[in-house]
Amino acid sequence: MDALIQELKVKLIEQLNLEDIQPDEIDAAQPLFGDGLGLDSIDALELIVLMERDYGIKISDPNEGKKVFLNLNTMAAYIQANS
Amino acid sequence: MQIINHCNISEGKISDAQGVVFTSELDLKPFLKEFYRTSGILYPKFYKMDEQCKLAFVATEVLLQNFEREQYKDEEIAIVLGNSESTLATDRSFWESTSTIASPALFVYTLPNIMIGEMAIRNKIKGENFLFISEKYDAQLIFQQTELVFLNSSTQVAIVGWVNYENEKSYCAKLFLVTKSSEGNGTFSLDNLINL
Repeated sequence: MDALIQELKVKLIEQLNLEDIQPDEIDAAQPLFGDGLGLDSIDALELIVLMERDYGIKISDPNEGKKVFLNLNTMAAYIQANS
Repeated sequence: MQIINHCNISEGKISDAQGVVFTSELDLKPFLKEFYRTSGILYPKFYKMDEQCKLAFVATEVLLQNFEREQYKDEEIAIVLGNSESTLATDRSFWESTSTIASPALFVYTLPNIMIGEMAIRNKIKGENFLFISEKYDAQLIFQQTELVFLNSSTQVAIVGWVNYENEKSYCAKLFLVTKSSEGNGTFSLDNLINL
């Protein structure tokens, strides 16, 4: 799980152009949206693309997306359970 | 109408009414990134923009550096821009992304008005805004449209000019900050739109 979270941190920075942030600065329990990393709605779409392209997981239900993209812990757990 | 300030970015050089602000021999992307990092601007969304928006963003930052923004209501500031490429470079990148899964973040930057949007969001501008696409820098068109905006709206100041990105070597931003008042640093004239 730790390796997957580390991998997600790197992918998140690359995919979302978070150039001012280093992987170690991201807390896996920190919210991705709102007061956490401050991602926006376009970033949410990019995360959906990332899940499909890199892990073969399609997320089409918005309510499910809210739970999956709560933070990196929930993303990693969902990938482990579904890939 | 008077010109308060102007900013030019081309061939690795950023200048304003006071003179040269920044130079670099790098291609546009690393050049603008270097300027962003050394200027102390804190706006993480900068990294998400395409190169044309970054160009417009940086030119606007320099243009408004000493502007007393708080003197004007959000609705009193207009933007009148032109370019020739529309968003062609990003259109191509987006098209390439569609060979796998199309990128939503790239798609956003295939909308030509996006650079005005980025300028407006950053500076809380809610006035009139226009983007004209013409084959080359059409100072006459920008001049006439700016006059009309001042005449037909509550606009007190306007950011006007040209922002065009073709590739990493061929790009140009030429922005003017124009006021309706008679106090400024030069007449808002066709000659100045061409020569400054």
